[in-house]
Amino acid sequence: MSWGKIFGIYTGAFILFTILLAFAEYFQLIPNRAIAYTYLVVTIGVYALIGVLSRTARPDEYYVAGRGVPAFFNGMATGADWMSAASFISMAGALYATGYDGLAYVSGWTGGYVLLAVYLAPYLRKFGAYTIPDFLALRYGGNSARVVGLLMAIGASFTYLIAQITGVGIIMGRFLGMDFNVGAFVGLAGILVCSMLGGMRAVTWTQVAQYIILILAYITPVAMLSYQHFGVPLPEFTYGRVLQDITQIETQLGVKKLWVDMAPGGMLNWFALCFCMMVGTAGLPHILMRYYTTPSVKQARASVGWSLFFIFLLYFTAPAYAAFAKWTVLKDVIGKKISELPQWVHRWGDSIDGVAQNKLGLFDIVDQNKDGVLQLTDLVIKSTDFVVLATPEIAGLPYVITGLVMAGGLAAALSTADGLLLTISNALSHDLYYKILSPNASIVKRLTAARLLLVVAAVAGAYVATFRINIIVAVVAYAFALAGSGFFPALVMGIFWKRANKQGAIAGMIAGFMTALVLIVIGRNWGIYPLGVKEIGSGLFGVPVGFIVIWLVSLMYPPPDQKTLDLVESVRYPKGTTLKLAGVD
Amino acid sequence: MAEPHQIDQKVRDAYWRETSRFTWLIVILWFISWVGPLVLHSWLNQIVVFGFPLSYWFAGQGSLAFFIVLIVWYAVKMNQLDEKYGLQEEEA
Repeated sequence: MSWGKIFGIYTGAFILFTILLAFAEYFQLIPNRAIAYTYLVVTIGVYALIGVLSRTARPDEYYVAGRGVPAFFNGMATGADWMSAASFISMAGALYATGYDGLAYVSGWTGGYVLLAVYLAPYLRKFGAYTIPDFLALRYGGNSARVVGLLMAIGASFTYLIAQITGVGIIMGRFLGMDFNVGAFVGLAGILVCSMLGGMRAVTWTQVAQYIILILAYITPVAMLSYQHFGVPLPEFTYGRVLQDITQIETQLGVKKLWVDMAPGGMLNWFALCFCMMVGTAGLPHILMRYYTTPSVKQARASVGWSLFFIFLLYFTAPAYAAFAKWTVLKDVIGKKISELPQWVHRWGDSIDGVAQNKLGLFDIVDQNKDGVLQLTDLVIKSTDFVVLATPEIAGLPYVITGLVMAGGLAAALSTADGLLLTISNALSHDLYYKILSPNASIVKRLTAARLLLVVAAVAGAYVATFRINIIVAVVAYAFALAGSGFFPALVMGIFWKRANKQGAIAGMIAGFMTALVLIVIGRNWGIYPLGVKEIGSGLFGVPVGFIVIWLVSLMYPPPDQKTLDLVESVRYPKGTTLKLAGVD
Repeated sequence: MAEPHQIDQKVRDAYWRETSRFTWLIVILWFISWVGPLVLHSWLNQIVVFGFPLSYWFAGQGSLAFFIVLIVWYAVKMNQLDEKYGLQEEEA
């Protein structure tokens, strides 16, 4: 049976399952909490099944899925790998809060794929190694570049991983009433069963399954909302009228900065944030690694297109989500009597006029002038995540759809966590253990080490997540600045500038990474912003520093040897095999 | 099977020149597609089409669609370039 048929049947079965649950809910056969648990058990069960079925004992299967993933499915897997808890749950909320200014994330998290397509993906596929540090080691002569690469890969991926596990813990808490720490470790178990036995091969096919669930879950509620108001279930096109209404209501309320406009003087920060997200996209090892898995250079090129298409489906919808939520709040909540607020406000509110509603609620309603009517400032938002989470109830949909959104959020967080965990453990097992410490290790030993380190990294991630250090979006955004500034210049120069050498690359990677890191630390702790650029956009400085340092330092040292020059040549043309030339297995 | 370094240097250089030039073109279009609507924000946002202020629409949806077009164009054109210079992959 072809992959297309298998996943077609899977999609149909999942929709049927949701419809059956809806009937069960309609006839009151099943309470809400049980619906949420059913989704949890069934989806994680499916992921685990795929994980077990894809088990393997071959290194090429474990590390790069045997380089047999067709462009279309690699695109779907990349989509799931890419879209995290932040994209699924928080991004529409960020747009709700900031309007135009938040769109920097939407453009940034998609535009990076253009850089990936023209600068990296086809060349990395041609190179055909297992990890990103592999490329750095061969191109820049030896293990010192590998060590810098693996440290940065682990640093960027680990911060990102913590954010995903935090996301899982929060979701479990909100929908299942589970304690955060218990939720985080349940999520962890879900991640491990997917990736441990089959490595990249298992993660790839699990991610395809997760993509299908997350995209259905994301689009369904807002499509229904659009259908109710405009008779067309295409919110991406109908929300123009919503925007007009928002502007009109805001004008009446006397709001100074309209939602659809940029904050005054916000242009440079918008640019910096968007640029940082784009370059970060093209520098994150867990994404780059996915392009090692296609069968050919041609397929790698096509695969970037499919990746962006599948990501586009969600990002293209996010502004509509935010607009419908903003509209609902302005229209149905603001200016209404506090005693007559809609049901969803009670369901997702923390306290309303001092009366406690839900201990995990996402906003408070405080009647500041005691007139019994809700003014704009009376709505105190604690987390804009309510935009995605409450939309099913805003649309008056059955609880099944809320359960579906939970399953989608979990799929988004777990699939990204899978990819990140694999990046971390591969850097440790392949680059550190096999390539540096024990080059003669047998295949069995290598794969055992890989699995062991996977568990260690996962437990470490979950443990750190239990400290609840940060909000999801901030932590993830820093990983972009770091990865973009550290990796992107060295990778691009390695392919496009033959003269780049070992000394230049190592200096450039460290300089770029450190520039971003220092700016994040001083911005976050002391509010020091060079040129007024916030720390989240520190890649605006880190990336050029990386390029310039590689250039200057490379020119101070001799050019690379003939073997390296041949390697670069060979990476540039699809014909032939590269690794045979470099003498690598 | 011929390895790339055994192929005529002139062919390789010509291919790479054309590839680099095309890469620059894509990157310049990419840059314009998201920076343009940003810089022209206050002007573009006054133009409203189907309810969408244009700068808002570009930043949230329009440029995204354009990114896909760029990537597809790049993939198609590069595959043609490979064939033109005889540098395409051998079928396994």
